[in-house]
Amino acid sequence: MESGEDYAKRSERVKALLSSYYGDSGQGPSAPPGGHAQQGTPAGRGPPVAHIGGIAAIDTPTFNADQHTSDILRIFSLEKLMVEHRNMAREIKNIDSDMQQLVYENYNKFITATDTIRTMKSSIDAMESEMLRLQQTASVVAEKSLSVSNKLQQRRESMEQLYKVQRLLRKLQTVFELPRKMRAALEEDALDTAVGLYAEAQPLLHKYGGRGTFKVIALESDFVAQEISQLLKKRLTERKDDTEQCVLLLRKLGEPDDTLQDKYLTGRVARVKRVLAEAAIVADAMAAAAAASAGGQQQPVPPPPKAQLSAPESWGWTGGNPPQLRTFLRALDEKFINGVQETVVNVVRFFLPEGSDDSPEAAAAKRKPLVTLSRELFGEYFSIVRRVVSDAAKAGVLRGSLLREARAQAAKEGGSAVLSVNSPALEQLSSDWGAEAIAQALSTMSIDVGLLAAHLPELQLKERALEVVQASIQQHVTLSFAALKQRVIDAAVAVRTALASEAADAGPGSAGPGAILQQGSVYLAELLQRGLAVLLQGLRGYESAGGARLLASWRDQWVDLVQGGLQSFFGGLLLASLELAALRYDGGDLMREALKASGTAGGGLVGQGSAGPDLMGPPTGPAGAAAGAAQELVKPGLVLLLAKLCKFLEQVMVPWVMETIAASFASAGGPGGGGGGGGASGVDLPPSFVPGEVARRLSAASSAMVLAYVEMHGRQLSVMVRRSTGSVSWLTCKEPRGPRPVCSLLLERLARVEAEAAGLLDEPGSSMGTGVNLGSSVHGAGRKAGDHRESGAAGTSALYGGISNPFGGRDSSAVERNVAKLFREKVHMTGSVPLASPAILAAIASVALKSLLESIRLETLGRAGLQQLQLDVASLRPHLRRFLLRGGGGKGDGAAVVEQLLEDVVLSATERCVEPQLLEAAVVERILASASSER
Amino acid sequence: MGEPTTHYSLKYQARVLVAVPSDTITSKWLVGTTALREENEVRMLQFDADSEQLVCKLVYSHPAEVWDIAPCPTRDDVFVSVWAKGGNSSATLWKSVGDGGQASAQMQLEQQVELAGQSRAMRCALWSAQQTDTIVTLEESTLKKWSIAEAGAEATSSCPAGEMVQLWSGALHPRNPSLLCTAGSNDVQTWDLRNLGRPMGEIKMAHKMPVRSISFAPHNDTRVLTAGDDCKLRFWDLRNPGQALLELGGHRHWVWRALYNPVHDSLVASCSSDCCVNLYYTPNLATAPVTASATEVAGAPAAGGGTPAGPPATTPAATALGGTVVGAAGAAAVHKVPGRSGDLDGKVVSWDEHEDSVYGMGWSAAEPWLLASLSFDGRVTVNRVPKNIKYKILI
Repeated sequence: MESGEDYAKRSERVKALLSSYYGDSGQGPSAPPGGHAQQGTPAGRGPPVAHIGGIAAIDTPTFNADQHTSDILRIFSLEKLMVEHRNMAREIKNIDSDMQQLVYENYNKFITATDTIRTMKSSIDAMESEMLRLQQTASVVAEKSLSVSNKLQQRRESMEQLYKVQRLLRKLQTVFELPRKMRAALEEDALDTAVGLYAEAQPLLHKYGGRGTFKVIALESDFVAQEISQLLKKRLTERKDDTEQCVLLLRKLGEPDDTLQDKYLTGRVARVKRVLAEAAIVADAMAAAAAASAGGQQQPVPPPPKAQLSAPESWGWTGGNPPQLRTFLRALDEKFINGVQETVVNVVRFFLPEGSDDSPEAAAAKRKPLVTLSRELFGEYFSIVRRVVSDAAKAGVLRGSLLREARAQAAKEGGSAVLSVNSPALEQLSSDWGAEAIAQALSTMSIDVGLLAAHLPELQLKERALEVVQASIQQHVTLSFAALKQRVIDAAVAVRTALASEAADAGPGSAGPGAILQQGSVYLAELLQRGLAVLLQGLRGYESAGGARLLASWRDQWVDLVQGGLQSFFGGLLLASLELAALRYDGGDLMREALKASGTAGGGLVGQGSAGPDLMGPPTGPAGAAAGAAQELVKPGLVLLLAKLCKFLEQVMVPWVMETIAASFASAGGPGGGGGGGGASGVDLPPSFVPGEVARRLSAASSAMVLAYVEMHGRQLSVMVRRSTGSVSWLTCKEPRGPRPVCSLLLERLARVEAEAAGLLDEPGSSMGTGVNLGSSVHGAGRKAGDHRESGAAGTSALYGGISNPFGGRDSSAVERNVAKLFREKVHMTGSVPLASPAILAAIASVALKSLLESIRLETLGRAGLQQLQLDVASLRPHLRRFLLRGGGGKGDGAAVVEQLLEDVVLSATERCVEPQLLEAAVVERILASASSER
Repeated sequence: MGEPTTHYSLKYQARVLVAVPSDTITSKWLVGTTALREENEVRMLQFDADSEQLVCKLVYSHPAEVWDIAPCPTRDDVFVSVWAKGGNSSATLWKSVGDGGQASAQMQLEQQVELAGQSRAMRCALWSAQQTDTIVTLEESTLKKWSIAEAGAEATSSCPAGEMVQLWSGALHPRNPSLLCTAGSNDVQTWDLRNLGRPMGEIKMAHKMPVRSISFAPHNDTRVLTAGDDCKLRFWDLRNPGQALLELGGHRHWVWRALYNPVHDSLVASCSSDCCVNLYYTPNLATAPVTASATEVAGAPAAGGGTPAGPPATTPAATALGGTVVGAAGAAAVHKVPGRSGDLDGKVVSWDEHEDSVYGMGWSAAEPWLLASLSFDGRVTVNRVPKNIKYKILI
């Protein structure tokens, strides 16, 4: 143990030494620098360097012992030399012992190796005999095995022969039995079995039919076969329903008749046509059921009796309900596609063998009847599919849009009740527009048809299926948008009806119309937002429900389709709004813009919208009434509502739709929003949905409607103002005692307009209050507005004082007038009016004041007449000011115009006055105060 | 529209501006002021095409306010003015006196005869271009036909306008000497001058508010243009008074005057108290087939007045292609189909240089692309039809 440890220690040391030796030699290159330095500075430099170099260099190969010794002797002190000596002696001793150790170890190993070699030599001698014995044993085993296998070989061969014989015998037995079996089958009327047997045995008989017994058998079986064939032919002429079967059997019997193919085909076609006829009945039933379940007013067609079908269950028609679309299509495909496939396969196998040596033309000619008939069949098939799918699309759209429910509700309740936001027709809007069902059905159809495409390449089935799919989806998308559009239009029409009936019932002045408008506006916004959201979500069903594959090949067109739908949706709404507002093209820029490109948008017009007849049969109920009411006078409130609707579409819906499109209906080419040229139809074609254009048109329409609204009210006020002006003899009238009644009438009207506009355009809640406030403040003839009036009157007199005083000088007054004009800003009545109640009110007020101005300019006034007008203006000013500042907060442009016009009225009156003498401001105020207290 | 405009300012407010029809070489207009307390005047302005300036050629003193002027179709020194003074209004036939060679622009007017009405509310006077001895005066409730001779004037016939009708203005047909149209209240009446008595025809509710102006198309015999306080312009076929052919908007306040261009059927201008003068271009309407009158017009193309530059562009021959006979109900639909030029009928320019209501407006009789307008503050502006429209019409 200890010695082992000792050994380990020692060997460690040896290793360390060795490594240090090699390491030093590795460090050898590091020595030369020292040596180099030594050489570079031979003597003059300090011996310490040389000394250190000398000491370090003791292990290097260039070590010079004599030099070293002499160096040491020269440099070191005695003491140091002694130390050096001792060190050296110790090191030498160590090295010696290490060397001894190494030698010893080597020796040891050598001895062990020698021993081993000696042992090997002795054991190898015994090995040879053993090997010999093994070889002998192996050869014996091989011999035995060979003999066994030889013995078995004979038996195996005989067995194989026996087996072959047995098989042959069995075949022969079948052949021998063939005539008998055929006969038996014939007697049992199992013709197909007989034919099958015959056909099986045919090759054998062909081969051996000429020999011995086979001859007999062949003859016999041929005889029976002939018999069968006779029978079949007879049957072929007698029984119609079995024709194909017979033809097939005959063909198997090897009848060479060419007419067989035609006969077979007619038989098959008759069968498949029966399937299609049944399908048509089921489709009728489905349509009827859909109509019934949707609660249609009219019961269009009584559902065809189930009894017409042989097996209604196979169509998925269980119980009283006709099948679902998908089930139906599956059943139809199963029957039809399988039938056609079988036919085609059979025909190809029996009549058009592949290896026939016919020329291609002849083969094509042979295929021709098959192709023709299949084309006919597929034509019918596709038309049924189209019909069913389009029925489903209509039903789905009705279900999604709740158009029928909404109309039913409108017909039942009438009036404004329809416009409740909580009405079921709005709340229950769902995203189920039938897209998924249609997508599933269509994808089933296209897959199934695809199966047959390889068999009948001439029919281009895949392309036709794709056409059907595209047409169906297009119809669905179009219908969906049309239905939603129709709902919006219906709602707008409902507002109109409600307004009309309200006016008829309550007469003017009631708070009803405002409430209706507000309600209608909320309802419309809600309807649009929800409706469009659910519709787009519903259409996305095409992409989720296995439709992705369906859309794969024409995704760009699909995106185009949806975008086009949106475009025409907005366009149609725009046109319908304009029509409801009774706005026509009037040559103006706004209308030109609004109607731009509307030729392509198509017209879903009120009352007879394209969805109406398509989805609902002839328009009924409110829609019909709407058509009649189109000639009625349009209520201004409705115009304002529609203006707001267009604004809403422009500012909320179009951006929203843009986002949605970018998110889920973007074409591959680029985002449909930015006009990056979507659509596979070509780069040069613009994208189908152009938000910029739509927004522009909507904005223009909205502005045009606001202007129309202003014009309508302005016209009423104009008439009023003119009439009141015409009834006064201005030249001769007496001293004024108060403002004319027309002023308060004017304010009253404006208050009503404000209530209407504010209710619709401002935040709900504040509107009613303002309306009432206004009314009271008008009637109460604002005592509280004293400060306003004062400032107003003072302003007036200050401005016109200059004109009234220098009565004499003609030119001076004209000059002053012109100078005064220079400092006024121009009265702008052009430009559009923003959709906000203060601006609208200002515009209406300006129209009224301008009319007053114009009427006054046509008159010649006396002094009293002028003063009367001065009073009128003074009484109007504070109220108008309050109107226009309310809500807006600051002095808008419109307010400035009104102020200007008020001044202009007095100015013009002064100009038209023979004796222009204005009242003192104080007098004006006194008269107004007394007039208001009288009232 | 980039075109230079020319201004001229009168001293006082003014309402009347009419083109002088007798001069077909230079563009001249008569303007009359309407200042109540001042000495009014009538000025003859001439447009100098070289310097693009309006020059005042003559100044007539006319103390009473001038409300309308009917210039003589053959002489430029004779005109009828409708004037008002102290709440009364009447009409007078004037002739300028003084030696024509004098450089001074100041001229004296000599009253030939007063065409006194039955009431004191004279509105408008019309001088027939066909029968130059015939003048028609319109009062609020009466119309009167005068025959002018050297010796004086004689009222040949008169008749009441009808109940509830307040006449405002009227127009004589440019070729048919016996046809008169008047604007009365909201309606338009047609009269046969040979036999004044009852209106021949009527357009009921021609506008929703009183009608202010009537103008006959220069080439189309049965087409008139009306404008009214409802801010609209309407085109009518006199044979179909039930429905307007086309309604044009674009004004924000009453339209005081709307006039067909004297040469081109497709050019119409209007002025309004919203301070704007609008120019409309109606190629589709102008070329719409005129079945009955087509031959008639084609037979007398020179009747449109001696206008050398008048191209026959507007003869409505063989325009079945245009196919835009307009029913009011289908107006929007029809006008979506642009004519051969691809233009919609509609407003093309809106001039808004005026700072007050524009009451007077007149196309130049000599140069069909010049239009003068007058606002209440006395400013006269001459505008040119924009070049692109001009080329559209000419080419």
